[in-house]
Amino acid sequence: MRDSRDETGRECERAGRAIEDLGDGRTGRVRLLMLRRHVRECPGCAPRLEKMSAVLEALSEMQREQLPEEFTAAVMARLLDAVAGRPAGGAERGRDNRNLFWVVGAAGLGLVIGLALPVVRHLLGRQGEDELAVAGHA
Amino acid sequence: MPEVRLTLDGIQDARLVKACRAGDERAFETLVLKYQDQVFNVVYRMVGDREEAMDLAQETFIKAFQGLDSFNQGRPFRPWLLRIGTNSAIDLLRRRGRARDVRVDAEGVGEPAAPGLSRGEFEPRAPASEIPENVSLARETAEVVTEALEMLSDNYKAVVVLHHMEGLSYSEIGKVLGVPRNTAKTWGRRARGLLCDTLEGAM
Repeated sequence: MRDSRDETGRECERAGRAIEDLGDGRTGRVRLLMLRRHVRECPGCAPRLEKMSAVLEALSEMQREQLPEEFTAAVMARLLDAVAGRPAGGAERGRDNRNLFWVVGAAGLGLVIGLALPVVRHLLGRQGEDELAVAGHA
Repeated sequence: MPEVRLTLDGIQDARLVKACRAGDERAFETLVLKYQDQVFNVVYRMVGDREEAMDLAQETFIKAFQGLDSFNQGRPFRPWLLRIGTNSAIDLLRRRGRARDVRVDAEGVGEPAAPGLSRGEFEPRAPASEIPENVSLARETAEVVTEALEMLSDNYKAVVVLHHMEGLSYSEIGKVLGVPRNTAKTWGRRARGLLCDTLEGAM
């Protein structure tokens, strides 16, 4: 008696797994036959199979929505806008970079001249002193 | 990430992507034509509004085009594209304030892939749908399932839409949603379980 109950429990477990696998689309032919035979005699598993079948059927029959014909053209138009926007942005960035280059260049040049002037003045001053010394000595 | 072996379809897509990167807009138009229906239907089932779905689908392609440089050509294009679409849809749902994410549970069911019948081969219900009563019952069931689908968490909904309506494998769904294959499979099972539960009183 106990063996028979255990056997039934195991069959219900197997049937449960087979019902779950139905949703994954991987219930083989043999398992399907066994499942059908089991649910004919099992009042517990029959409603489970019925519900799963109904859900799968409803999902597979859900209508696909149709896109309007102009969808592709609309995507491509938006895309061209996006692409056209990119070089403009790039050119602007390029112009900004060029301006920055001139500003930094001018500042650099000013700094170099500013640093070089005292050095040149210093050198010229020393040269003048030397010439005076030579002239005095003479 | 390891490279995967591309299908013939995937190889064609990779060629088109390469042409797009080289500046061929026609190539991208071919990709749009190929996947627009799928992208639109996925986002439509996710957000439930035709106009918003249309806008999201367009946005998906623009984002894809702009992100082509970051796309790894050794991997399939379709899951990458659908990932952009699904994420956009989930973002929209979040903005609407009704996102229902579920905790990512990495534990998988761990069953080996077994050869089996495809969904199409299984005909569980008796072909008695011509009887008007059955027709209306089937319609009612479909309506209940559609409503229940709306109420699922976004991740569960995405798995159901991608697997049952678009025919993606769990491996592909995992790539789309950025989760392991077994997680996608578990979500699918739980989602179907919840859908079955909603039919409790209806049948």
